[in-house]
Amino acid sequence: MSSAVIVREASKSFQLRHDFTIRDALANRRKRQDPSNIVQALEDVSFHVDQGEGLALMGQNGSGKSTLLKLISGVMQPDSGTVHVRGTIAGLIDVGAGLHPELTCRENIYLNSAILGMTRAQTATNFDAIVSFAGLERFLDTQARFLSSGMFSRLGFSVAIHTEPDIFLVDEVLAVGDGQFKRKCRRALIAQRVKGMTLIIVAHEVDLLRRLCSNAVVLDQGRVVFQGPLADAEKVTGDDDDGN
Amino acid sequence: MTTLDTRTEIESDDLATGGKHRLHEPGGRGGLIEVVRHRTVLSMLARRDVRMRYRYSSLGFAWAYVKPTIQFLVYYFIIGVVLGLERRVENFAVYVFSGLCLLFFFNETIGNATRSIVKNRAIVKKIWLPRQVFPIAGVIVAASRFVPQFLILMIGATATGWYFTWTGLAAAVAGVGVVVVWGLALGLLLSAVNVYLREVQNFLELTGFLTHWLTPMIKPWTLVASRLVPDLGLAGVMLLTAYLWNPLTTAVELFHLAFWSPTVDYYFELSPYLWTRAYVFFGLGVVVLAGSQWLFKRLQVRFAEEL
Repeated sequence: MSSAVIVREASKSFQLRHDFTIRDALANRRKRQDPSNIVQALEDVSFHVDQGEGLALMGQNGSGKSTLLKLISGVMQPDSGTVHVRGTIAGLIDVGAGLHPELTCRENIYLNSAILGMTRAQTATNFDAIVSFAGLERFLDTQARFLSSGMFSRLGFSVAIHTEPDIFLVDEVLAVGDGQFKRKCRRALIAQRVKGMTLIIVAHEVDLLRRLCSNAVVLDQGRVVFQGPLADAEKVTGDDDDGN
Repeated sequence: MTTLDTRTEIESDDLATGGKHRLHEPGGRGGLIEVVRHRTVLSMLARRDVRMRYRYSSLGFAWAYVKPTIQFLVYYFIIGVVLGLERRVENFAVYVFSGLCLLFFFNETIGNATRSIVKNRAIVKKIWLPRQVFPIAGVIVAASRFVPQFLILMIGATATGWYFTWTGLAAAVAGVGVVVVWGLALGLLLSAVNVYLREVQNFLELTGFLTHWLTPMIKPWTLVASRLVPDLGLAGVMLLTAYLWNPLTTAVELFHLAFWSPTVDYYFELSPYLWTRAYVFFGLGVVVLAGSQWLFKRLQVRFAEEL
């Protein structure tokens, strides 16, 4: 089995900046070196994900999960170490990142699909499936700002899953939406997993993770503290209730 | 999840497979070629921005004409009629408007491009795209506003005796070429710098004003020369040289050559060495564009964390 994602000794730190004007930048140039202004988000993280594997990223808030997803999607680059991926990626780092509140749902579907790398013709083919999955047939010509937050994320999720990526990155997006839609998402994710899609998911609902993932990486303050089977990871994090 | 020597796998994978299913670094290298590959999203973003701009105006797309029309009327009446420049420059209306619509295109390009990355931060932070699509979409939006103004220029010029010449066509193409190359070069650079220093966009308010007065858009270069050189001597010659040898003066004069000079009997107001400057500033623009793309590529690495 070959790898879909390989992360090797990746580190990422953020510089906290307070200077957004030229004057501040000149005044602060000495403070740059001040270590209290540097946050180490990830430190020496290494793991790999096989093709078709489901991996849960676990850890408390601020442990570096989202930063790690951003490195994998290519939005950010590591300070040191390397990240390699195989195939296409759809990052659902935030549902509806590409959705524009002023555009109609129809316009948003085409725009967001294009942002995720689809051509107009591919989107046209998938259009009906996207709409019916999101359950937004009645709102096609409504501006997205009139949708409820649940509908908004349904639209975002529906577009993303229909791009049929090789690697799907999901960051706590299933926290929104009602129970029925969550089940629908779960089924769609499982269906894509069966087809061989690699999944990396950040979620706190252990029940959901159990159905989608066999393995887990647990982060704590930017370091990998556990990697292995999901069942063992639950013992490490103590999240063996239903996560809520 | 076995531990493995990833270095070995990456290296053996490079030899074993090719194409789409090869291991690669996520995101891109930041080159302009990736923009061509993402042309679907480029055209969708441009279309979105055009649509958004006029969605809440009852005048719709006609709103695009209001600003240049008012500017044109003010310049024509105040400078042309009240201050009397109309008597010195034949067909003054076409003289002003040919420069005005080209500079409007330039300023729109710079303005749209500079704000583009910050404006699209929701996407830039969350989804990887070649980041140049945002400023380039801004250039396309500017072009969409330039085209109708250009048609008005054609109507005005034709009504006052304009006729087709190959030289005129070449000058028009060269004028637009210089503006696009420099607009894109500066727009790319400023869009990236604006992520780090937001006050860059404050300077945009000045560019319209400066470009109108520091080029021969309103007054011919002969008028400037007749004041600068006798009054200031050598310093005047240097100022005049700077006034003539810059990309925007060149572009404006190329448009004068293309659309104004066929409509008048005397066009000695056109500045000398125009074609030489056209070649120089187009060539130099391409070099500056390459340089600003190089800088953009380096600055964009930290876009997601700075926004």
